[in-house]
Amino acid sequence: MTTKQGEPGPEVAQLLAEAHAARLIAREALLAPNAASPGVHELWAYVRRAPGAPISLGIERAIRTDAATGARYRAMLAAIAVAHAPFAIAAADGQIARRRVGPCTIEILDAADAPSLLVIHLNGIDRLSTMEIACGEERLRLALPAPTAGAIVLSLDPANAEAATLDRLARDAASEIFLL
Amino acid sequence: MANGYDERCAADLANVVEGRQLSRENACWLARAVIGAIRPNRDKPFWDIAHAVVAIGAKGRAQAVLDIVLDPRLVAPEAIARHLSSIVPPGRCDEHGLLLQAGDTLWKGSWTGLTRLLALAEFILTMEDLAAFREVSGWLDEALAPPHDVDLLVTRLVRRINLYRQAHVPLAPIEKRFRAILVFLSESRGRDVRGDTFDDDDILAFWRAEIAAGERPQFRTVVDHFITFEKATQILGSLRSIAEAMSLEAIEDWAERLEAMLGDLTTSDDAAVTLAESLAAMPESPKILTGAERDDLIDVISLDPFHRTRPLTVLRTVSFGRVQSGIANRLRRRGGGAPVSERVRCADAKSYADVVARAEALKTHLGRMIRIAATLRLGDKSFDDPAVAKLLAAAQADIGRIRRAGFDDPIEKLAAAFAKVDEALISVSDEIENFTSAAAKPVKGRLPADRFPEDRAFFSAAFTDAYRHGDADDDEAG
Amino acid sequence: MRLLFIIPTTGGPLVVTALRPRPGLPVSAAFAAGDFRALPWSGDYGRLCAPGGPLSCMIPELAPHELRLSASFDAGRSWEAPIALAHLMLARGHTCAARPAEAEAIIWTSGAIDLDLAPISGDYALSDKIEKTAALLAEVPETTPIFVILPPAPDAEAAWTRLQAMANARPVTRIAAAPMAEVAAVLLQRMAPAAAAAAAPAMGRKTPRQARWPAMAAVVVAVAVVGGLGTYALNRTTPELQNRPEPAPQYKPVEAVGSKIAKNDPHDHDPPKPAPSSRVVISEIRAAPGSDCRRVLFVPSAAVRHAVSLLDDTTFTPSQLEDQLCGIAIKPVVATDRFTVEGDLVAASLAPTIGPDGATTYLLRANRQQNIVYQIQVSGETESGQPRTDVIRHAIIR
Repeated sequence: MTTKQGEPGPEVAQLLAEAHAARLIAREALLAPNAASPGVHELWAYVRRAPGAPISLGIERAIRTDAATGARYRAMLAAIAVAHAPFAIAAADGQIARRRVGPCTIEILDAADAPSLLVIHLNGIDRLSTMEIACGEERLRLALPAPTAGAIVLSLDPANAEAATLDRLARDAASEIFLL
Repeated sequence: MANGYDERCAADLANVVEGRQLSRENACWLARAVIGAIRPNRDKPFWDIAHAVVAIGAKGRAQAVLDIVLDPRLVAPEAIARHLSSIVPPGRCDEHGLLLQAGDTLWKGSWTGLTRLLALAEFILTMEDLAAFREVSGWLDEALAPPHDVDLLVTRLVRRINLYRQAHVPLAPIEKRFRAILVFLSESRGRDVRGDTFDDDDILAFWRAEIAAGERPQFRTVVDHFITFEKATQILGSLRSIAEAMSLEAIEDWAERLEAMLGDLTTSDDAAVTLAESLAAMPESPKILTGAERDDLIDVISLDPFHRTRPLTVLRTVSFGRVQSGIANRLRRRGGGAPVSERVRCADAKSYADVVARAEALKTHLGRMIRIAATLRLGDKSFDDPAVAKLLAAAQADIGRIRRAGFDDPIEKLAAAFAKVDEALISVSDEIENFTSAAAKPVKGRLPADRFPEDRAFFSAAFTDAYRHGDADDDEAG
Repeated sequence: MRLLFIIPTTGGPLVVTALRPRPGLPVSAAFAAGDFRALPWSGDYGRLCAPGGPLSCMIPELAPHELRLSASFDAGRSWEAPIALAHLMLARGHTCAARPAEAEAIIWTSGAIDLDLAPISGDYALSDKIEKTAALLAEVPETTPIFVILPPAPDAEAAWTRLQAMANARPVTRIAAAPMAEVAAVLLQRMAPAAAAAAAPAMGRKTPRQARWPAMAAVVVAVAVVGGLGTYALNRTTPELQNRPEPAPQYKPVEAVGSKIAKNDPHDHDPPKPAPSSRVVISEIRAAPGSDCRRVLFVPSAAVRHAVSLLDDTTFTPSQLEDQLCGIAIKPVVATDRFTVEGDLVAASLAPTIGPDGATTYLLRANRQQNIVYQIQVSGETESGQPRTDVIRHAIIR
């Protein structure tokens, strides 16, 4: 509605302003150069991959080397994760006895004459299906079995390549863990 | 920021447009939904998203909804229809789209509508480098669980997009400027003159008035505002219509008209976008157009339709807009090149005659390229008309004379490259022709080119006024 | 002793390669070699070993264990019997042999068990499993004895016949299907030298001395099997202990069954540790020579008492269930202690009475069941006045 004679009200200016911004931003978006790869769709599909599915070296390299891609991947993973810990605090001797990942606790039980065991205490969580652990150049995703008495136990058998990798990564305070 | 949005917003939008390969229309709708240029209710798209999410149901897990939103195969209506029909609980969809009984209202979302809604959903999830991803995911989880509180999800989404707009869509200065334009246009002439028409000098005068008031908009920015203004009044009929429409917004018909106007206005740059796209797609080899040639062409074409209707303003923008842009860059970089005090004198401003001459030269060059393209298309066909045959023979000989990269490639390769762009060349050439012929006509009794000396004095005085504080921070980078 | 526990499957036998308590493990877990995820039935295994579960009734303070098998399989519940038995044997100080060649004895059993650790009858494809065990047996020295416990199954007898044929010259012994604790008791009897030497509580932490199994000729098994299967003995002729008229031999901690065996056992020697002591004293009530248990019912002086010896602080040597055994007398060592009896003894005997000497007498009923396993829960106080409870075990077996 007009306020002064001949002067249209602020709604007109608002309409024109919005139209103006929309017109120009749409043009800019349509003419923008190609976005960096991998795109959000590719990353999401990778976040949702089943453990044991083929690794994409390209995506993993992008996650590692491009900070923005890495941050996006982690944001997506954190959104569907039950628990996430970007790193652990090591004890004075550098060893990790147990670390918290959200409400869960992860512990490594060593024995002199037996393979180490990795125990995930669910601490009230119903169940976990997957664990993803990454440190430096390596990223490992594995399916978790159903819990018994609120705990999941994995045997870090050195003869098993995946278990040996898990052993090494889990003991590294710098490793990042997602529990899904 | 000069036009009401920042780089982050532009990038976020571009990511979704490209990632989903959105059509022109859908990209423009998405831009409007983000900016808030939706009538009668700018929150409606989010209300629709919330209903769509609950209708999809997705076994009560946000991950499944995210799987749908972020699936690159689910961008076209047919694919969406096919997939959702098979997974949605019975009663939640029919052949036209999704259905949701919410209380005593039945919400419906068509498959084509869902194309847009999913794009908007992707925008919210991915905006600001996925800053809201986790939060929104949690909200979806809640909405998918009983009691399926749709209203809460709508409130949350709207609140979040408003936060985004506050940070990345500063429309207040743009509104202020349009208010000023409206006031300027109604005050600057008598009451018997329509307040929604303007000429080149009006634009110039308004810009000068802004500077006098302490602002420092780029001339080009002001020109863009006037282009929007003209398109709006053309689409809606008149400024009075707009005012009437606003006051009668409550009546559905007027709201629809406004919504339609916004839609049309946003897509109105279609021709210019097409041309700009085709120019950007010109091959590096053969180097049909150099980078500088492309930039000069885009400078003119992007001010569509003024290059046809108000060539003087376009000349002013090309010539003095460049000077001002240089000043702004210098201020932002705090150094490099001539000092501001020297630049404001506009000694290096290109004369209008030179600008037109450049346009003419480009037109000639484009003509040459078009003839070559035609020759390559026709191949070895012979023609009855000796004139045509002669023309083509001349063109063929021409190819050998061109000193540009790639023109000595095998003829098949040249033909393939030209075949992709020759129609675009014709369109661009037509537009430049429109410009040069318009620039040759007198405006208010004088040829535009003759106005250069006094324009230079005018701009110089204006720049001096605007940038008298030299290295103070700039606000407009164009 | 190093025992090889076989988990028979229709795909071929697996063996238990390791069974050890793991401090810090919240629940027992089962793994296959080379696989780092627990076996599909690891959860069931965990529940078997959980506090309050069937095994923990037999093995006090059973800590969470790590069980390792030579390979993975996921069919059914037939792993339950061998694993339960393995726990019971290890609790008494035996160890697992990781490979057939290292084994001093082989235990072969299969089938699901109930909450009392008793075998559940079913079709366990025993014949097939026995067949598939042939190759494994080839890796086993011929002198290594095999103990087999066949659950109630349609083809149990056929399987047994086939095993005997396959075993050829090997010593193979069949132990009647019974709750695993009883089976363990029988096995322990046969392996007494090693088990007796382990004076520590049943936690499996101590490695027992390696006791060489007596020569084949000395091994005797007297087993009565339900369902009229008769009595089985070794291929070698051995005196049958069942139904001997003389009283059951006194079990001293280091002696094996029968004096014959004791002579042959070169590893027999005095235990370096103090003799075990218990909170109760148990005596067998036997009919005096020339009398019988019916008379004992009415004429108490027709009975004689034979003290039962201890295997360790909480377990008495099993008694022989024979006609001349009329009952059991239980008396607490500390006069202020109280005790309750749970298990088979209660149902198998008449109402208990307290004799003039303060012992509680349980006289067995006439229709005696096959094996009587029971526990005595003793409540009292420590020297410092703190309450304490002990669970003492005893069994009367055929």
